[in-house]
Amino acid sequence: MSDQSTYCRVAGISAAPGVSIGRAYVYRKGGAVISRRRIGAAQVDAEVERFLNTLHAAGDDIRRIRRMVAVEQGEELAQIFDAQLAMLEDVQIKEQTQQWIREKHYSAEHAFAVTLQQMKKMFRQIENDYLRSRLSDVVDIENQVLVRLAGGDAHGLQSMRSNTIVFAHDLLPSEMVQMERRQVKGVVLDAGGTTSHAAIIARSLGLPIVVGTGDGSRRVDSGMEVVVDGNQGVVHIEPSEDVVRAYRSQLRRQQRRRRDLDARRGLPSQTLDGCPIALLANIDLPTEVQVAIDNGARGVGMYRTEFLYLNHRLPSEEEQYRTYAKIVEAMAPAPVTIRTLDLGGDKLSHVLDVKTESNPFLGWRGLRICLDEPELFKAQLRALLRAGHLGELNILLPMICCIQELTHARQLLEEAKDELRARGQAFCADCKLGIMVEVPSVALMVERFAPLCDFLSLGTNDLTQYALAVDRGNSRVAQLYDPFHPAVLQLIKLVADAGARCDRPVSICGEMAGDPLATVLLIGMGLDCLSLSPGLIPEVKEIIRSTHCDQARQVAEQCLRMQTGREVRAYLKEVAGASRPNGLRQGDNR
Amino acid sequence: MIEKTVVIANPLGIHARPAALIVQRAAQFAAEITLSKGDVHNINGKSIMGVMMLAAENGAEVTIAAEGADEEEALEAVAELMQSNFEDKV
Repeated sequence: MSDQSTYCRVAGISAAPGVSIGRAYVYRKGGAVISRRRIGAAQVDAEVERFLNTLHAAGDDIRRIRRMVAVEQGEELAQIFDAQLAMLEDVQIKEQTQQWIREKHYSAEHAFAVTLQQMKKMFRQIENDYLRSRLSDVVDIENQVLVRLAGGDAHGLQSMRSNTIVFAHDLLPSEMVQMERRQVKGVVLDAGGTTSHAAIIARSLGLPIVVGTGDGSRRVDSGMEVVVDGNQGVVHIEPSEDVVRAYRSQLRRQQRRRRDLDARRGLPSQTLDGCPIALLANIDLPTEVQVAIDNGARGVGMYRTEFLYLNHRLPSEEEQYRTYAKIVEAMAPAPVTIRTLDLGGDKLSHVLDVKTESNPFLGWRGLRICLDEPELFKAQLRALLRAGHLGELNILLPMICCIQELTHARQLLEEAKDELRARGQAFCADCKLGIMVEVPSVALMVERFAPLCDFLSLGTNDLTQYALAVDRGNSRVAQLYDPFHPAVLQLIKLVADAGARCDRPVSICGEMAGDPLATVLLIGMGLDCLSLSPGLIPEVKEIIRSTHCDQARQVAEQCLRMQTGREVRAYLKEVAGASRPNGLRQGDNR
Repeated sequence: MIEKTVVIANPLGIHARPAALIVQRAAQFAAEITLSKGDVHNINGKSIMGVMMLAAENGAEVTIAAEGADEEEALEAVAELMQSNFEDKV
């Protein structure tokens, strides 16, 4: 079956790390076959009853999922299913479908499909972007009901075998959540970015996921052997024996290593010569705090708050406060750094007046939106300040590019404090305020920014994109994206040095912080605080524990003098191989 | 039949969640409830699909009509919800 000619390598974006080998399951929506048969007059009542019973059963299913999600992921996420439940109980859908059955003697599936067809047509004409996007919920219930009527399982997703890699154009949260505890080992989506609901849930479930593959799901058939490499953002379809063997041994090594590392979880994160390196966790959901603690994180280095904003509406101050409080309390007395809203305008079109932009990465996003929408921003700041009262909470501002933005944000932070004082509410007046260094202008002027804030955090994903002018979501140029590019390394070095001179802590929270190949280099450039996906902490800690600061400094000096990112990687692999003959070899083929 | 015109106060308009709440409330009455906005008429106030398709944004004028034994209570209840600010209620 592994014919060389069918091999295909699909590039996408890594939305959650890890490697899985398995069989593809191509999940297509609306796959139910609709029987267009007519029924006899005598069967009408029975057909109507069959339809209503199916609606009930589908409703029970969604309620069950909703309960499960509420317990495991929290009420915020569970609310996503309320609209679907209301749609299943919709009188218009019920009556229209029954009418088709009674008057035209359509089968229940045909009648329901025709009814939904009309609904979807009307939905597409709605001018409000957000409401129109609920069309996906309509399609979701349509699919569930039709498959049930056809006598099938409610979801193909429930009938998968072990080691399944799901390929889909996009997945709804309901579908994503059902995959938990089942046999799914990885996910590949044609659409989607790293901040989509699906990506966030996959990350919290620890599944490797590659998104933005364009047409990945159309290049594979169910049953084909595939490898999902969530570390590299690459999918191999029908790979050669050699590729599979390499990944299998990488997986075996990882599993063996994982067991070794578990046993060494309690060991301190410090270099051979005793320099402590703080390892903190990047998280998206409050439930991940426990995962972070289990993996030995000494705090949360970056909680991304975007998830709160992907719901039907803007989160209220109370709702945000409860979420932040949960994280701070769970982590106390360890520190928690929370990044303020960092979404592109396109993700907020349902709540803000957003125009289509030709250059969204250089457009209205992140802090820029917050400064233009002070009420939205101050609600978040008030919630943060209040939660700061419960433990150690630091506020992190994303996407800063000039000094005025920082002073403006500070001014709004003071206003938020005044508002809380006026209300007589308890809050922390001296939460530390830090900035993300992800626009090259900040790295270049870091000594002028540092005195104006309490700490700096290097966001190497965006820093790389902006320094190299590469959108890594664009598959034609993604190969140019390289955080090991010496120009990016020089920017990182500038920031690390300035932090030391100005006495401001510097951390790094981009994917690079979790890349074992980068660890020695980062230590060598003087970084002593890394924030990464919780699951990657044990591996990185192990490398830290076998590194000497002096040796790391020499390695960094070498790298900074090199010509290309490729050269840097090759050198780092050589160094890793020399010092740790049995260490983790990177599956990096770049 | 009685009627009342209200202005949508919710900053985000009547999106999915408010629509679900309005429909739930409307379903508690025997009276028939219909909604109109601009040139869209006779939307069934007990159907979430209908209420969502009304696409009533902040500031929109919506006319609510109720007909049936409990029409007065029904009209009041739905009108009150239509004018409320859902974003503050969590």
